[in-house]
Amino acid sequence: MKPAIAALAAVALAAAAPARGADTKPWGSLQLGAGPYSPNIDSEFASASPYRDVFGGSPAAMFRLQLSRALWTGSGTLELGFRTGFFSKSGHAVSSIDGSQTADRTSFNVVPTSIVVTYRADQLWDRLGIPLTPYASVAFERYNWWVTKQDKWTESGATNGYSGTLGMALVLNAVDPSAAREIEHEVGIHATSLYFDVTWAKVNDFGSKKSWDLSENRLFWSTGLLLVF
Amino acid sequence: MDRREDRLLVKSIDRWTRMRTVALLLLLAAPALVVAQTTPTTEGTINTSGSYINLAQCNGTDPATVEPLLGLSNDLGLRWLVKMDGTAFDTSGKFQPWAANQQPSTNGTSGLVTCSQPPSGATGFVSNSLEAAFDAPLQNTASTHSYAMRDVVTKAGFDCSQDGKTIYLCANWLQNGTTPHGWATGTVTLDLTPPASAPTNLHLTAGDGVLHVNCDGNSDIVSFKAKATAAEESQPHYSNKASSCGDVVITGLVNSRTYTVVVYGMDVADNPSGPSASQDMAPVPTDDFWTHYKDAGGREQGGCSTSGAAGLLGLLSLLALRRRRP
Repeated sequence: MKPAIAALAAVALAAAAPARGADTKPWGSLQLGAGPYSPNIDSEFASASPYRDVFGGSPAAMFRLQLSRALWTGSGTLELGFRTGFFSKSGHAVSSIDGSQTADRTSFNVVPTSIVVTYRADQLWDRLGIPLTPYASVAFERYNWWVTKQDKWTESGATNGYSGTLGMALVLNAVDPSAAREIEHEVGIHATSLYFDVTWAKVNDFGSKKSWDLSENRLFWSTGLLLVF
Repeated sequence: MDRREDRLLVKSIDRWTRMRTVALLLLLAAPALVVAQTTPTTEGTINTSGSYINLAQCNGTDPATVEPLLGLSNDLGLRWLVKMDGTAFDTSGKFQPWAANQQPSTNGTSGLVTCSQPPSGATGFVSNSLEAAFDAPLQNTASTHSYAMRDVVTKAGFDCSQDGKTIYLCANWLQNGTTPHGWATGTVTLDLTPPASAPTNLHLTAGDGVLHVNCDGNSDIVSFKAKATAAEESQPHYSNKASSCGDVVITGLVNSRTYTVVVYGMDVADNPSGPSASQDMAPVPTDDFWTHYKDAGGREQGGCSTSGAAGLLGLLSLLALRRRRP
């Protein structure tokens, strides 16, 4: 029953929303989102767990912002983008004597930067009026990180890697087509979407023996807003 | 004369009547305007360095024993500004500050407060000058003077058993050094009762050269301060003063040296409670995340990695070449 209702809703949305003219080529897109992140630092140890000792096992939010330029539009859109973000996790420093937790604070901070190539199958919306846009991307990643103790920097560095992402965007233009047309006319935003994607990343300096692994423990998922303009 | 000329004539008469009415009103108001311009603005407020005088300050306890814990002075600073306009001001004027146990006399018409005079019908009025009148040669300039709190209490006719009493502070600007003409007033309250009980549930957490304090305090405690002593040291260490006990930190301690810590709670007037039950603890050297990671045998070297930078350069080069093609 539920799939049938969902299908009907999708058809209704598709019928309600006039697709974008095929001749309107987007300049690019802006993506703003966040997802839970926990680096895989402890994976290099057989028995120790320094990250978990200090910061515990729960992830913290990593915020991401991506600006992309459309390189090619035809059957879908190919974009080249720059992505950055921020992650910070704070915990208690441990005693040098017995490793117990102390009152001092220490934090691990990451500013991930990426060069991203994205393919978005936006012809589903543009030509067929189906308000869904699947997309895939690959990225070169560089995670700039630093550690603090009592708000003073103690160590910093950068770790490189790569990633692949699969995602789906729900085009909100279908919800209120007249408002969407007004936004496009006034601001130039062709499509406003909610997205959800999953990223597999390997951020360990390409397997270097002198680097830790800042890849997400499992798959990194994120959600947020995608604006095509 | 047609209708149009009639209307113009009526309009002209109306305008002339209005102008005469305005002129008459201005004439009638002239004396009032003159008075408003010459009436001096002569009142002001005395701002004090604190709103309360606590028990130690009232007793004039040696600041050397009070200040390390409370960070307070036993002097009460007064600052006042009496605004005088040009017609009232003269350079022979003097200021004289007073302390009284009641609001001094206030003239019902001019509002002039005469610091030395009791209010109408008052009994038991006490007012004494805090010092002899002194020159006030500068116009519209704030005066700042300070007086021992113990003297202020005594001059107002109080002693240190009279908790909750209000001391009325008053400064007169004396025209020609004799006649009160301008004034400034303020108050300070005697708060002589310390908090009913000391903070409880003292809990210490060690850090690198520091001890973090936590405790509970009863409702009349509004701030906390801790003291740490060690057998090896002659002088105690005092923490910051914080409104929440959890924000109290004692710094500058020696790692692995045991300190005995007590915490005091202070009320709004900074009357300290008795000390809490003491606790012993030693600060410890601590490892931040990076040190803990390296101590565990972590392989990351820190610094900016060059691995992958070549790949990034290659990618950028490819993109640059692609854009140059026609």
